[in-house]
Amino acid sequence: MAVVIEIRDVTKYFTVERPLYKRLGLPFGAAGKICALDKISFSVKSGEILGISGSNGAGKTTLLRTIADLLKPETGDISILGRPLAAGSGRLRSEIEYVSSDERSFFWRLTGRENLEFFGQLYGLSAKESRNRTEQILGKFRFEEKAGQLFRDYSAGMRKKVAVMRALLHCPRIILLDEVTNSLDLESAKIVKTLVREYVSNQKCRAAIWSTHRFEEIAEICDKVLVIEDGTVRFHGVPGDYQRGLICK
Amino acid sequence: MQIDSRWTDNPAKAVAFIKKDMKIAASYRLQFAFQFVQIFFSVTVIYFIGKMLGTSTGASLLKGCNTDYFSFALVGLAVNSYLKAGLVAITNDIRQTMNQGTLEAMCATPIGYNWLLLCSSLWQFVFETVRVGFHFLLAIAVFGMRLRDANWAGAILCLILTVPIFMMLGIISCSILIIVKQGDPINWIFSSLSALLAGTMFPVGVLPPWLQTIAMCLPLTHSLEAMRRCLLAGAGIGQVWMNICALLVFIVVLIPLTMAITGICMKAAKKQGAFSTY
Repeated sequence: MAVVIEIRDVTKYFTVERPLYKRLGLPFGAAGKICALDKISFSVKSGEILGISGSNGAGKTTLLRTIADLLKPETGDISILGRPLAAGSGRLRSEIEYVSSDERSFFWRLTGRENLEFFGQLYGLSAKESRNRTEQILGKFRFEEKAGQLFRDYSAGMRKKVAVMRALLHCPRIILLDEVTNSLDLESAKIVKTLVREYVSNQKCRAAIWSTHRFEEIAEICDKVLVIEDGTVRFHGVPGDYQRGLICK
Repeated sequence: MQIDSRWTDNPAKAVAFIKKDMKIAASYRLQFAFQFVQIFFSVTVIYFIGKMLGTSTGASLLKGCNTDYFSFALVGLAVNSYLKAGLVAITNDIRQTMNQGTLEAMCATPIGYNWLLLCSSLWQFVFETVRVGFHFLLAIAVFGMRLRDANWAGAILCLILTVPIFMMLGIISCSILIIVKQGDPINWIFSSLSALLAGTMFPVGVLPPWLQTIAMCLPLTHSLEAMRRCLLAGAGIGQVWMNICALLVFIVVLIPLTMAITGICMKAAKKQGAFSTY
């Protein structure tokens, strides 16, 4: 099976600025550094869903944002479909879709449909293609009637649904889902899981990374799991093995 | 580290941005309407100041400009609104997208960062052009402003040279804003100096000589002078060639400067993850 995502020795630091009153009297540049990711390496093959698990602040979101080309790592290499992400053409971003864990990534004064059509065009679809794809995807999620409402009027779960719809709109090779089932009802969560599974399995060279702190979700949908704590990999393998390891302990 | 700093991309994306921003602007109905009502008040205020100056010695200062104060200030207000669109309105928009989180979502798409900033500014210039047209319409229809001798081709050329300058200043301003979040220095310097020195509401000639020298370093000064001479005195291109050359120099200097500054800022933003923080 072809490798879709390859991560090698990725390290990411964040500079933490001290408040001014704490900096007074200290040497210049007295800012702390937090290691968010420490030499992370793994790969995801075609048709696979990799689960990323870890407690709050473990580095899950930082890792996904780094793969989504929104953050630049200090060291290490990221390859998408065999091409280095650092090449900087930006065109590789059309192969990746990042579904963020917050709901602030849409224009609240536009309707759900208008949002999807706009982002479709940013992903390179023509206005007509974007309209058609939006209608198709709204149909899959049975969301046609609500698509005409302003985004600000949606519930948290509905907003999340629109985020997942945006992810599937332009048929990316890689979907990065960050705590995507939070605030979704059971039925909607099931639809999302089924759609992602089908999406990844239906065509070659597609893969997904599913980040969550709920391990039962990973066991249900993911082929492999990467457990990270404090920015370092604690386990990489089959979810069942990790669960068995926990029981043995 | 390389960043995606493409200046060109699919033009359809630019249209999508204009449509999106127009829908958002129109969704704030009251503010949208007030932006036009406000024009009536500002034009009326200038008209009465002009009427007052018409009988006083202050008007003699405009003799060299071959116009009355009302026409003089109205052109100043119109051209200045493009500077405001470039520096204030666009940076406000970008700040809003950072606060909302939509900037990061847009950066996650395969759009060049420079193209993204450029497209984000387009609606403001389109809207400002409509507003400027409304200024003149009101001034001609209600207050009897005369533009019979205007050299429209010259005025349009000046506008074509002016808009990219303010657009580039806006892009530089936005790039810095993404890093510093509040208190962008480019915005502050150009807005303050232009308001004081560029001759928006009074001729540059009334300033002390040393301030006039500084005024010559501002693009708005040249833009205003050329625009006034074309619109109000019917001057030909040959008569405003000095101003046109100055505007061209600003463009030539600003292109590499804008590219360099946006490149540095976007690299820093990507390192810090600054697209979604505010």
